[in-house]
Amino acid sequence: MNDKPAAPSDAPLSEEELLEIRRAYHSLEAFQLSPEHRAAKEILKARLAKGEPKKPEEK
Amino acid sequence: MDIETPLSHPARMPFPSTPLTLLGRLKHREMPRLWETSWEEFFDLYHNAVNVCVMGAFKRHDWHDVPPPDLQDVVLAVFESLFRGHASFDPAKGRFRQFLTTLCQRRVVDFIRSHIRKSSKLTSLDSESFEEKEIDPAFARHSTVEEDAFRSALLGTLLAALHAEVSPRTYLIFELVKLNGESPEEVAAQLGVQRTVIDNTVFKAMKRLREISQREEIQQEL
Repeated sequence: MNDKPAAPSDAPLSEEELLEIRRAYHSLEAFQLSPEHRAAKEILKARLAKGEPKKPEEK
Repeated sequence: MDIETPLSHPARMPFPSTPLTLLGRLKHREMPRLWETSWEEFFDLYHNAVNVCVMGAFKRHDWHDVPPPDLQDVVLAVFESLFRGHASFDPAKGRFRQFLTTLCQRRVVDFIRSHIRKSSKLTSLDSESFEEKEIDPAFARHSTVEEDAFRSALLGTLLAALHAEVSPRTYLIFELVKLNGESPEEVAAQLGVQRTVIDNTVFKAMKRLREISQREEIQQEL
């Protein structure tokens, strides 16, 4: 999507661009449905519920 | 004609609004429900990218075969930094993916340092060369795998913006026809509308996607 001159904003997305978006969609969907992602989300939820960790502020 | 009738069935994949919007919402910790929805949406989009980025950062420090639980621990620490507001993204300072990569590298360095301190077996790791790697500009370069993972997250963001900006029904039709490859005839029959409605809705969604993809915040990242 970034190697070509920009198409006019009133033109619909090209099939080629759509294909790349479709691949990303399916790849994200597969990852989100994976047990690893779900388990990690639960762990993160528990960690966030515990309150502030000892980590100092980022600079 | 855009149709606004209620959904006959829910969209299959929930997508958030744009990362900048989401990041803004993450600041509202005084609104727990909004904050929780926001972090979950953000995590769904960027978990894979951060995973890949953290693995890459370990490899650059010659830390191969990091046990999965440790890897996950660092990945979650990246998100905790972000969600708790310890690290905040400033678009004026650079691209979002660079910000996220730097955050991944910092958490990896934290982990390695803490591991070195804890384990006498690892005291042979030269702390001087470790620091050199940390500041080497080449160190910040993304591998192809990382680029792909971030690009996928960003393309997911385009869809997120579309989802947020059109009616649920429009998004559903676009999703069924263009993302899931169902025929317009099938979708028309399924939703009880004419084929031309499907065609027009899909065309409008594709046009809107083009508009979104040309926005500055997206172009900067792409």
